[in-house]
Amino acid sequence: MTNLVRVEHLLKRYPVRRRGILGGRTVGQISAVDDVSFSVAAGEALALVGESGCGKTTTARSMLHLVPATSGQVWFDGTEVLSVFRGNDRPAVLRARRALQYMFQDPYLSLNPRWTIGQTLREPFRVHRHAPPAEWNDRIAALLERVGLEPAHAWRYPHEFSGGQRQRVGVARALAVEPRFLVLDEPVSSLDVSVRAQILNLLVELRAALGLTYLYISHDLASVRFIANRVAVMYLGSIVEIAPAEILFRYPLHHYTNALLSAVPVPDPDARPTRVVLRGEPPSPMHLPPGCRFHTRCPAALPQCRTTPPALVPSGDGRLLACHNPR
Amino acid sequence: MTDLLTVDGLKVHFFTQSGVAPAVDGIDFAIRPRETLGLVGESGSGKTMASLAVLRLVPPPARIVGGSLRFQGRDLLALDAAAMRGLRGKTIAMIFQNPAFSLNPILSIGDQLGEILRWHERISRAAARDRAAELLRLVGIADPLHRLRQFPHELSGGMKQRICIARALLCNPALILADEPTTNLDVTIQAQILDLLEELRERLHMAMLLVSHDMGLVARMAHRITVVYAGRTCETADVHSIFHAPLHPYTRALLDSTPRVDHDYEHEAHPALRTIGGRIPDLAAPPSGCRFHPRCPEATAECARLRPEPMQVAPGHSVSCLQRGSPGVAEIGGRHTDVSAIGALHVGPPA
Repeated sequence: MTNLVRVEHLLKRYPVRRRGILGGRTVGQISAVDDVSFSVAAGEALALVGESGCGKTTTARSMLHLVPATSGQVWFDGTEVLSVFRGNDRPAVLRARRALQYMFQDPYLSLNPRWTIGQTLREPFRVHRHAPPAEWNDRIAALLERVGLEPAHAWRYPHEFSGGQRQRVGVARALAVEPRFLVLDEPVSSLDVSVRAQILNLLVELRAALGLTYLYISHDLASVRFIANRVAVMYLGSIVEIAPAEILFRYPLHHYTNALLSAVPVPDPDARPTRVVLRGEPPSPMHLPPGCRFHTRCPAALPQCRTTPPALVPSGDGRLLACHNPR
Repeated sequence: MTDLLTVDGLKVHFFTQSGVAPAVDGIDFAIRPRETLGLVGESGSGKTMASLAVLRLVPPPARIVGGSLRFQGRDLLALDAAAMRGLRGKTIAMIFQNPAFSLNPILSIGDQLGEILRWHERISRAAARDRAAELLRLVGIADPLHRLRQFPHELSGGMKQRICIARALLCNPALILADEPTTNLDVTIQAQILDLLEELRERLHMAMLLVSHDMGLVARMAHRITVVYAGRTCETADVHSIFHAPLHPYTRALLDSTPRVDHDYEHEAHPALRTIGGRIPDLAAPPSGCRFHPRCPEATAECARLRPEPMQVAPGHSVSCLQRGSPGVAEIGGRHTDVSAIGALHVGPPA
């Protein structure tokens, strides 16, 4: 399989400023994304998982230049897209924007409440002009049917829809420009169980039918297991382990991955896996511990973990691992 | 075993300008001493309203309009306001969904914990501080005397939820109502809090009502489970029966539509979760008969006409479904049947 997307040494730092009389000064930095590299093969669904504040959303947003990255490259199909997004070549920017789309987490905040669904879905056609205007209405009707809505829904406003239906509109809007790569940022976390299953099924079906490639961001490991081929686990801005889903879920090697997996409640009263409960809470990203960032909570930390950060290296079974003392 | 709390036919209706919405319209459950009952449902199922009703804290425009609430042999709906205040936070305590909103931002942790103790136990400031510090230590907070001087904004989400648990335990309650206690927390912190709740419930001989939408969470925590849908109880059984032999079509659908972290989807050619068609009903105009019938794969014409009554199918296992043999009751006059009771039984906080 060829790589469709390759992220290299992505870095996103936020300055921490203290306000003062003369406009303030920078007193520190938060490394939200710290030297993250990974690739996504054409047609696969890679999940980026981790707890709040680990940098998974910032990684995805920097990849699409929704927030400017501090440094690093994002290669898409042989082109470095971050320099394209920063540049002034509008046709090239539009080409890249068409290929890489982002679907947002909150179905209540990501639709304009004063636009009908039809107006919202017309916008990508108006911007990209990838179809003659005479076809737009038919294309919008087809998109709505593709995501399980009705063409007549184009005349309605977002408040007339339930959360699940709005998320379907979000999918339709992302698909309007016929992208090849779709970032799905927690697309089901605000939905009820019965509706969540409908959207997850739709996403799996669309990927197969349209040959899409997904970056699926979530803290919900059960939905990740359902949707993803490969999983990258992030902790405090770095990837600690990345492996095919089956391998990762069966034999997690990083102690953080193991703790994360064992903490997920399984809907089976007889399931009593050996659970690892982590002590303490993640350290503040402003004062990152030296060495391996996980050593303050790790049950198997060695002296070298406190001083030397482990590199993310292959461990033989299609997995990359950053740990001095794996399980 | 006698029940600690029995909720029977509870009805909580919303009196809005556009009409009466029967948000809770016949929820039954019972909690035995020292057990955890999981109250499971999706949004709009009435699970939160039902737990607030136990403390008679349903917010206007909602009011309790019917049913009975019996706690330790006492009729909670017949108690006067002073007796109810004596119960809240002392014998029945609550852990709310969002710890950030349930702590007072302008009082120190010590002040808000001490207030509860001084109200209920009439003890001195110093004694209240010592007891609060002891509870903070119990919920795993290091350096409790320092924490007591801090304010909620200085604490992390997991720490705030620990404080809320400590607050609920201050007066050794017999029953804890926990409404989605870990929804806003990360999964590793959630595991810590769940372990803590379970250990303390066991050690302090408490019973717990655990309100949740997460089947995985109740599988882990609950001894028995009550499943509610659109304001009515569907099924009650011990945890093993619910997960291994569910009877109500909604319970089954809920289990089938939950993705599982312990399942290999990679080997399936076309992985798909079984879904429930349609959407959660609008409670201002709930479906007639069984409220699940528009989305139920087994529904018949009877289901649209008759309201199923709970029926015991095995000891401790009851189900409300006509297709499982539950008796059906014709609904006369639709959703306004119970409005006659409002005048006679006004027990909510003053509107």
